[in-house]
Amino acid sequence: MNKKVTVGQKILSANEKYALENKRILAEGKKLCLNMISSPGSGKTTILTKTITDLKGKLNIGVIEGDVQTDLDAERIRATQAPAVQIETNGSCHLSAAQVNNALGKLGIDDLDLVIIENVGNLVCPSAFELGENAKVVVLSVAEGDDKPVKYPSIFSKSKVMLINKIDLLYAVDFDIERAQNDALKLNKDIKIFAVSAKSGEGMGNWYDWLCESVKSVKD
Amino acid sequence: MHEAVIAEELLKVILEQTRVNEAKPVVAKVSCGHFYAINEEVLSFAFEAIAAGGVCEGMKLVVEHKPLKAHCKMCGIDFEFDITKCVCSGCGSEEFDMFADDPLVLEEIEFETE
Repeated sequence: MNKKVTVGQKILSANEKYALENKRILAEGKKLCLNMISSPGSGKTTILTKTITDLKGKLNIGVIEGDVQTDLDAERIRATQAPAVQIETNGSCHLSAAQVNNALGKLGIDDLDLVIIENVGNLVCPSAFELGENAKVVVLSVAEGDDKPVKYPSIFSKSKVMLINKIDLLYAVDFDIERAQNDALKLNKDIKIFAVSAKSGEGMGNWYDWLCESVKSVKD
Repeated sequence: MHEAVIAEELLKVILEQTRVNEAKPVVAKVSCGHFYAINEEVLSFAFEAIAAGGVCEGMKLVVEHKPLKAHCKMCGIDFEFDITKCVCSGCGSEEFDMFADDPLVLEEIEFETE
């Protein structure tokens, strides 16, 4: 007879410890922190550069960029004059709270209102790792198909905001916005949905309003 | 693919327990909520690779997937939530509150005894 031992220990407690520490640092500084998640190529970085440029003077935004390789995205952010720190995961499919903890130190958050973490492009793995953020923002571009909320329910049910990006391409693809919205709302009735084009600027005002209100509510 | 990181963390916890229990571990039972999206085969493959050559080599992992649950606001029952349907399994209502997903937990280790 083998001996069975009951353990009952959380496996990702090391990540959780760092996530709580990040949360504490951000809350102490009254900073809003968003964890932006999508598949590769949905337009996360373009949304960020457009947002930073359009909200210049209203919100000070810093960015933590996660990619498997290169600092191309951080360079794009720095071109807007906003501070950015690149995390190269060297193969890992998601960011961990420890990596973000290190990046927060390098970024220096004192002068910022808002820290946006652009996670590695992937709709599955990042949703299992809390980073200490106030909210997750999932981005879905219309070229990917309107069935993504049904196919990847985890991230849509955990996010506070869903950005449907590249609506300037709607004429060219069979994307049913209503279906994508309804499917996301079934999983998560509180999710805020904004249909935008980061390229043309269409719809971005609603997203900016949400950002400004959320920053304000963290400060108050 | 996040299973690789989870396998590393799992190995650390099992090794701690192995030191305490001073025996060779043979089976570990893990439970997780639906949204952790853990594939047992992928987790086992990753674990096998990093455990090779150590006391955990050859261990079997068993993953229990805990279903999503929700509370129906119309008929009042708690039900297992079918994500492909998104309605109450009792009355078919779309008015419900989801419960939080279960955490990722190492439930039990089976050790070899002499």
